[in-house]
Amino acid sequence: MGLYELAVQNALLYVLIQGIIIVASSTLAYFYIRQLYNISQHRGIKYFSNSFLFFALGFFLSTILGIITVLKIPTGQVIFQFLAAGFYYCLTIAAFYLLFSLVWKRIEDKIASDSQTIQKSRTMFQLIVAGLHALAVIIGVTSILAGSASILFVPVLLILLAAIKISYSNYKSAEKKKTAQIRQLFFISMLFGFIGFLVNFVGVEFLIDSFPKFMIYQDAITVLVFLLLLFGILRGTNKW
Amino acid sequence: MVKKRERLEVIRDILSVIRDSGKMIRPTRLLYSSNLSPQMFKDYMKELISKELVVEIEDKTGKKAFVLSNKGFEFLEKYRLIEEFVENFGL
Repeated sequence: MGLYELAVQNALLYVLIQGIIIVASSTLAYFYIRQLYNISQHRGIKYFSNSFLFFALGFFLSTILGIITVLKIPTGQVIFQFLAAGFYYCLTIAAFYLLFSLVWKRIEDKIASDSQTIQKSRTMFQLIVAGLHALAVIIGVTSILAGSASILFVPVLLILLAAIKISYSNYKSAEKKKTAQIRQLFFISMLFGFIGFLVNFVGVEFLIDSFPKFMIYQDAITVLVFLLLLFGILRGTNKW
Repeated sequence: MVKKRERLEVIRDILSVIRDSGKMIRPTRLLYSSNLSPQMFKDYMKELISKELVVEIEDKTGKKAFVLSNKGFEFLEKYRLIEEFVENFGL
């Protein structure tokens, strides 16, 4: 019996195990990083922690959707679409926060030179974050209503590509060994995240008949990405 | 040319001066030790007080002074970890 057939026969267990691993690792990552933000009030740490908060929320919704599908719970189309839009919104805003945590300092350094412009830049960043949330809602809702995966996948893939480029550049510029190791781990996580998402996109849009079998590998990559990220954060917060 | 200090470094420097001064420190002395312009100093102190890292008190003569809060002490203890985390992930 192949892996796919095993997953289909134990569909509920499959959905639960995958969901629990991703939600638990994202939630743990969020709380560890949040502790550092509570002390430092560092904005990059805040955006980074928010990314994991929304990944945890998003994959929680995804797990609920999986349970509903497997158990054939009659929720009605509206509720199902609402949950799916919520999942897409959380995924998109999580990706936005991830990228923003890597680029916010470069934006601030370019525009803020004295205390007045620093205050203005803070207001500007609040507006940018509000704009990102609005955009994520639009992407999530439109993707569901239009029934098109491209509306979600294309922006998130572009965000992940940008994150890969920046994380690779950060890794190459690291001077200390521990910093290089963690940045390398982060870069690999971004790369695998991109690959997993790309596989998902190609499967959903172009290979819908044979996609269910590919789904196992895409799900395995997703789980691996979150475990790698959690490991990196545990190392980064000296808890490993 | 002197490298511009990052925000976390400035906060660490201000909190270190308050800690090293003993129990409390007057604003003028803190301003002088902080190497900040008066406006920047005012903005940072406003932030540190609002974030409860520093507490503003009145000394025996009724003059304003600053002391470090427990949260401020915790910041200094955890500063290295925070600095390393920010550097490790390029935030």
